[in-house]
Amino acid sequence: MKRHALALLLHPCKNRLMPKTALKDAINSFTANLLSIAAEFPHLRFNLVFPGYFLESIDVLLLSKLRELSKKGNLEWILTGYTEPFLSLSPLNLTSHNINHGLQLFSELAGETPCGFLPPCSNWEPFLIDMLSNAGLNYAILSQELFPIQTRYCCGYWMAEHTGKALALISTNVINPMTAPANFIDWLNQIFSQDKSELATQKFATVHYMIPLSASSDPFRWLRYAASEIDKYLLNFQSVRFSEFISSNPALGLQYVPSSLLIEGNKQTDQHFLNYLYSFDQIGILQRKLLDVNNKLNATKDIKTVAPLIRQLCMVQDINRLLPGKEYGFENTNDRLWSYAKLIGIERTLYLKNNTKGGQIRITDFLKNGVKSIILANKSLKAYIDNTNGGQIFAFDFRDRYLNLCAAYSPQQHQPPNILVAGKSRTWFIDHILPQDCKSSDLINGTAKELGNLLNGQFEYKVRKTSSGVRIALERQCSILRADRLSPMSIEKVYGLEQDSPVFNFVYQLSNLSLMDCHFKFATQLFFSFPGLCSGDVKIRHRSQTFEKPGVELFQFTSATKWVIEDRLGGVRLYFQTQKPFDIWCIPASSPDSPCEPSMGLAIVLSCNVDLEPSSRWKNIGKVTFRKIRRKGEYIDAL
Amino acid sequence: MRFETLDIIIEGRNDTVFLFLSGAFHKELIPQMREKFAVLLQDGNRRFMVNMENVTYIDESVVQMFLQILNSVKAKGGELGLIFKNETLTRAFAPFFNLIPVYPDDSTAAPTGLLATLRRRGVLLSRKTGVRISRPVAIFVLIVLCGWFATLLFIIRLQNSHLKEQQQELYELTTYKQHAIIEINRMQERLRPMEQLGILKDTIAQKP
Repeated sequence: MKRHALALLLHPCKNRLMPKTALKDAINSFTANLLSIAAEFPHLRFNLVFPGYFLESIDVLLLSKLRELSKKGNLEWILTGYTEPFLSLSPLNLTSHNINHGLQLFSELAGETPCGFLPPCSNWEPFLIDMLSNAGLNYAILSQELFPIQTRYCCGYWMAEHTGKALALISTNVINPMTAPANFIDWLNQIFSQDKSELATQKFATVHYMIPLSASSDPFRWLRYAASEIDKYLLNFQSVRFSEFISSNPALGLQYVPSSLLIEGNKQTDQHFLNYLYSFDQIGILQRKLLDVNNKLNATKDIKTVAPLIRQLCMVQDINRLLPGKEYGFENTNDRLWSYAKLIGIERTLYLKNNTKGGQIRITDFLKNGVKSIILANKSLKAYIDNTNGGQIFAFDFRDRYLNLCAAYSPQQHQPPNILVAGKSRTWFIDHILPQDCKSSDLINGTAKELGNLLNGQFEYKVRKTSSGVRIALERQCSILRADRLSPMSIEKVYGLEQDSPVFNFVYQLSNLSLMDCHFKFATQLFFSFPGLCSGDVKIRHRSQTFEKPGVELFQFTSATKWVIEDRLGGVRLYFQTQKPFDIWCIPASSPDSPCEPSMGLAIVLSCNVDLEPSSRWKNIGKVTFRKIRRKGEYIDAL
Repeated sequence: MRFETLDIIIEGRNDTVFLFLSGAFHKELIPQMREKFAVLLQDGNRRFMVNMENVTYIDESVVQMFLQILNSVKAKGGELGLIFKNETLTRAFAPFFNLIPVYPDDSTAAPTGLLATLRRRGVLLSRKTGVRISRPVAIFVLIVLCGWFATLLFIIRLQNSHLKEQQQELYELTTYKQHAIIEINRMQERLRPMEQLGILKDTIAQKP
């Protein structure tokens, strides 16, 4: 019987955000366990995947022991980058920086640079061949699911070529403590027997064992068992490091692997995985913001300021923040707001550095969909406006608290995968023209009859910069359904920021252009994403009344010109003030097909009955003042 | 989307409105840009700096548009400057360098320091007071003011030297007086024994 080569690839994975101290403990515990196994089985060779930032947290003594193992030839380092970047969603220069910074950290702390790369979640992009070759990396490790079915079970490694550069590709069998085989040797034999081709002189297989850092069970029990089995069957299986196998064995041939991603639970790889990903709410905005911040950092010449900010951006680039998931990922409110907070923090630093006074107006294709968005910003606030989609605000940053208050998640998927879909995306100032007898329950149930077409219409805009601040005036000619006939109407809305103060102004003006009376209920909806919604730290106050459970219960108050929303967890208080009274409906932001979930946000509807005589106008002015209040608890220094 | 090729950032820095343009500047964007300037002028802004370093393409008619905007800005007593150093724009604006001020970067366009602050302040004050004077008149007034200052300085200097002379004279006189007193005392000491013997009469004491 031939002796087969077996590469054991150990991958400590951290999917959730963890406080720095907890992360340190978890990495040290992982390393201590690994070192004990290495001491127990001195012939065992293994390959260890570490993102660069793990090295910054590991105990120095334990790291020195790993260095010794590496020197003895028992360990080979594999890199994922400084963090675990989502390669398909990240700008090239940021990915390149992430990889190079990771290599630099390894060189400084581990004493040697890794020669292999493991794309997180097997997120492969052909451009990586060029990037990795230039960085001095010799091979990449991918799940066997990414390879064509004909060659998927071949035991060996492949060569891939792109734009004149070549790189070795290694396919792996990914397992975790839940899927690890009970009979390891039988499982290995099965893998080797699946390869009927006679391409390889020595058959070679990789076992990619993913070890969750926050696992409740003991993942090292299986690893110890596997190590003992390899030790027992030493004559059948030779444990190897990747580089020693590659340097002494030829490749099986050439392979072309297209852009792919292996999403957990979805074993099938999909070439259109980006369409699937963008069908989710919020991910598009998060990624566009990442691109925008990256562009700003690139345009900044001060290296001293930029270097630490880029490292923070690499943390946001982490694949675990940009994948859908309830436990972690952008669907999780905590993760989403954490990612936004990091991006807002970087932007704020750059804004303050530029010495901009009295606000800024940006007209740019922020969403990268061929249409300009308008961004109003000052020292404290930043509003992203989409004039083509009903003139809504799709992101609103309160910079002093690093909060995106307009980041409520909608469980409804977008098809086609547009970033913003009117009616589905949870934005601010979603306008409705409703019958005067319409109730809040009608809006919740989706039975409210829309008399106007304001939801997704395109607005003409004018931007203004005065000594008092910046503002945008949006205008649209629309129509209102009146006794089965359409009557012309115009709507004008103005959003403004007052100089550098945390005050946001809005104005609505509806003009009846017909020669007949118009009677309707005007309503505008705002979806808030307060961090304290889940923990019950959000309260709404109107006069002497206090509403304790917004986001969970429906409640309303009438004829309000002043009311306050406060979130003690987020440390923010919003003072609303309007010129004319509004009826306020506070609706849990659940959809008809999903249960009430406070993490999905809180919807506030400002409504009032409007009676317009022929050629007359109705106008209401409002102001929201954002104030910092003492935050309940401290920020968890999460990574 | 030919209409949506240009990104615009509008922000204020020290009484100056900076417009950062990036992308391709096609002629279809001219009305839009003209309207933006009209609104900004209407809002009371007078000093504009347009950073076009990141403009990748510029239509010929865009240059004409900037000349027209310059006219309307100047008509309102404002200023318009362009910031770029790339070849495309240098070629496009080359015939008009004598008309439109062009700066290589933001820091040169918005100079800091006392003079720049005074200049900005001056613009602001003239805007507030509404007083307008022509350049020759301004130079004449400046010369007169300088003449006044020179005369004043001359008078002060003259007075100064006069004061110094008087001070010197006073000092000499004081010294002489002190010497004279000492001399008188010494003479009196010498004559006192003769006076006591009655040989000499004290004539000084008899003086009224």
